[in-house]
Amino acid sequence: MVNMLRRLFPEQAEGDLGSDIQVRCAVAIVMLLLVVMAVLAYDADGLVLTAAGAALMSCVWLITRLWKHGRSARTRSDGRERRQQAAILKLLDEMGPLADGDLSVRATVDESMTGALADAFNHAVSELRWLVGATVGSAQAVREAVARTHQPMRGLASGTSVQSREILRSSNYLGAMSGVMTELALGAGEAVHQSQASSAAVSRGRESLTNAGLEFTRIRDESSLTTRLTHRLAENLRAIDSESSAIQDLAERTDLLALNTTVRAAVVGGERGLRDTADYARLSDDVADLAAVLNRASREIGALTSAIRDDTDEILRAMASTDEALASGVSELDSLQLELEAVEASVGELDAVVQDTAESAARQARVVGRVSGNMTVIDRISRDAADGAAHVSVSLDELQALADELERSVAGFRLPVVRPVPRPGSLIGPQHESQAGRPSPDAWKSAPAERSS
Amino acid sequence: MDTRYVLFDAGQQRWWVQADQVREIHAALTVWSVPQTAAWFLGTALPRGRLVAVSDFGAWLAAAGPDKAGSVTGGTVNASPVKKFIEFEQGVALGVESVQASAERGSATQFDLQTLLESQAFCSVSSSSGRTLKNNLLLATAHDGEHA
Repeated sequence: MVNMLRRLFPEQAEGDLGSDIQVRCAVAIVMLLLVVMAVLAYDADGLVLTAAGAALMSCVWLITRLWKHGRSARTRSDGRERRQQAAILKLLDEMGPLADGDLSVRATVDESMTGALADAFNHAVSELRWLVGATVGSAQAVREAVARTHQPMRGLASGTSVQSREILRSSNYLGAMSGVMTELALGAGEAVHQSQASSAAVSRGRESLTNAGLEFTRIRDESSLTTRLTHRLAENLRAIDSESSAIQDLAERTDLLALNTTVRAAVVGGERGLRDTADYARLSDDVADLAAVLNRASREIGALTSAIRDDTDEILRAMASTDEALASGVSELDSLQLELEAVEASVGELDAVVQDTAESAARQARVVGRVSGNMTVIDRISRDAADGAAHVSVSLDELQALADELERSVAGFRLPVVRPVPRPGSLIGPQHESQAGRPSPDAWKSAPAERSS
Repeated sequence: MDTRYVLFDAGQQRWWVQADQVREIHAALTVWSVPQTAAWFLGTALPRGRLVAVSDFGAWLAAAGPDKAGSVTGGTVNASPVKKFIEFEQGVALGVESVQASAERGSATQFDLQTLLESQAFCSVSSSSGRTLKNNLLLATAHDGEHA
């Protein structure tokens, strides 16, 4: 670099310009230019203006510095000074519009001492033009991109907000559904308990019915035994009646015997005397008393057997009715037991169904709970997305304002009117230099050719 | 006890008779009916081997009682329920409703067997067919048989 500067400024290299300070300044300028180019390569927006300004000021400062050194050298050599002064003046004249932002200026590159400087100036202005054009193009591209993105982003933000709200509502619904499913599961569990209790009650009822059936059978057997005993009692009563008839007959015969004894007493009394008559009369009285006792006993026995027979008949009728009722009761018990067995089977099936329902409800409640939890996470993510979309929208607004600000910052520059040449795949705006596109950073090295032009 | 009378019911009336005139009182007798005789004449019986002419006294009273003159026609008689038979010494047995022995006669009517046996109405037991059987002949036969 130092050698290059010494070759560009041979006069100064021999004098004070050979000092390290001047070389360092030149190096700094070149480094700044390189930094500017690097920044332009990255399409930075804020740094572009800063780098461009710094590069311009460095150029101005360098030119001024060189001009001052040139004037001091002119004092040492008039001829050379005049030529240099003229070249510098010419260069200054050509550089003048740049102060007003006219980027269409172009310094004349010749063989004078300012030729290389003019070439560098031209290169810097060219880069500046490209920089300004790129800045304007970038700003326009950013504005257009922001304009294209802004509406969908607003829609996205609004949709995300609606989505978040709906998700929140759905999450609430799912929460309520989870509660309902939990209550349903609890209710189904309670139903399972009730069903099991019913099944147990039915089992107990069936057992009681079985016991009642056994008791009925026992009572029926006892009733049958009682009926048989009562029939036997009736038969015995008939035998007693027969015996009572015999006693009655015996009483009548005794009574008749008493009468005949009386008659015989009268006959014998008439034949033999009063003493025998008294004997026969006592005998007749005894026989009459016996007949009376037998008659009374026979009547009492008859009355008793009649009463017992009536009671027996009543008992037999009652037992017959009881037997019929018992038979009907046993039959109804059998039917009831069959029905109860059917009910028990139905209750068992119902118990299984209710238990399955309870398990399904519990599983469903757990699933709904997990879905509700997932919906909560989705809701949080959706809200974050909505917040992000809102932030992106705000950032887009800020980006658009920044593009406007960037465009305003380069509004003071005037670019030459050239036909736009789009560069595919690049945000760089219309090419302001030539059909060859952006000039290569090393284009100034072809100074002789450009100077000649 | 001084029992002298036998009271019996027949023909809706109570009668009395001396006890010594009665041979025996029967509760039942096997009676052989005699054809072509009056309805109140029940037939003959053999209690303890004695031939006895048996008549329904209540029926005789209703058909040809002592107040009715003339012969017995043997028409339809409302037979009274005979429950006892009183056998007399004269070989005659009368079917009556009830019999009892008593020392008092009360309001009973005296029964005179001898007058009954002598009455034509009681002795003529022929039926409407014209065949005639003398009850007293039967009685005489009976007495003859007994004495024989």
